[in-house]
Amino acid sequence: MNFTKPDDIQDSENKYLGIVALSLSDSGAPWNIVENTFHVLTGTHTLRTVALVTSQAVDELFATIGVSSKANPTKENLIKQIQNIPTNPDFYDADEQPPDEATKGDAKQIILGVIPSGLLAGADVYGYYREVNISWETQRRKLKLIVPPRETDRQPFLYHGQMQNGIVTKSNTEQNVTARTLRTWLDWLQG
Amino acid sequence: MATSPHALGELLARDLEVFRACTCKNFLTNTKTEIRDRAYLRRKKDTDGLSLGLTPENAVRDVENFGVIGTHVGAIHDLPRGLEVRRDPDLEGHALIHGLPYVEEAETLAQDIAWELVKISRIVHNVAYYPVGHSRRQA
Repeated sequence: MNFTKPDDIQDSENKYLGIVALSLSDSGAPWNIVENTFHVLTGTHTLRTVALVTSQAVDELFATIGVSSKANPTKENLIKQIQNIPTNPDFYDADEQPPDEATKGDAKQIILGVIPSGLLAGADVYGYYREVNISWETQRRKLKLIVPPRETDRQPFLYHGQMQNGIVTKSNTEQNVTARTLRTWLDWLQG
Repeated sequence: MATSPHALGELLARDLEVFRACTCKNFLTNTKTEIRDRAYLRRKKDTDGLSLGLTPENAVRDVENFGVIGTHVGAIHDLPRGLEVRRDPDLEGHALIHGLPYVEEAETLAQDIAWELVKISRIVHNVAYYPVGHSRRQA
């Protein structure tokens, strides 16, 4: 199926990209957001899926540029959860520190780039030895975004695994994760 | 600094349930209804393996805790990972899971096994458990 972006959406995209470029300066990830959204439309999804994804993506696009008043509660909630990762020592082992603000910022930047936000639902967020860990799980599959401390050389990575009868049958990690990578694997999680 | 190898205790019977103290609140989810995989991620500091108690009371002995989780020895041995649950010869009432990889060295495998262990575990106490005689028990 061919899909041509209407002029008004193209204009919105340009405004949106400008906003993203201003607000998220040191990662290429957000530049993929809109491209990714429309990539879905050229796939093999049914018309109903296409309509749903289009509706969500356009809503988010318009909300971002202020055309719509619709908020993204799932994404907002997740960002808040990252920001509110406890610093209380009760949440950590004796030799463990919570993630710092810079590391939480890196995690938020990846999450902010994921569209549609609905894919982010059901996340479990916590600190682990100065990392930010964000985990999603279905009955058979698991996805875990691990954002290492900013000052280390390690880049954010994703663990993804598939389980059958209580045994992990397939798993791997993806290095140098961006919003696009995460979105791809969140799609996989639902499969 | 090199550490001397830990003497291996006897392999525990399959039908025993063993218990692990939640040494921080992050072992459980915020709703305290599910176990997080971090409960079974072995780090370099865990030189001898992951520590278990033969009873919930043994698991929390002398430690601050935020709950207790349990799992059956047979279920751990049945995982195709070569894990062994052995009595700790140095500490009465305690056991160790041997054979877990270090998360710092084998991230993917460590995550796999931790996830599998979570699936065969249950929450015994989802709040701090200080039995009679524990140093932290309120009078």
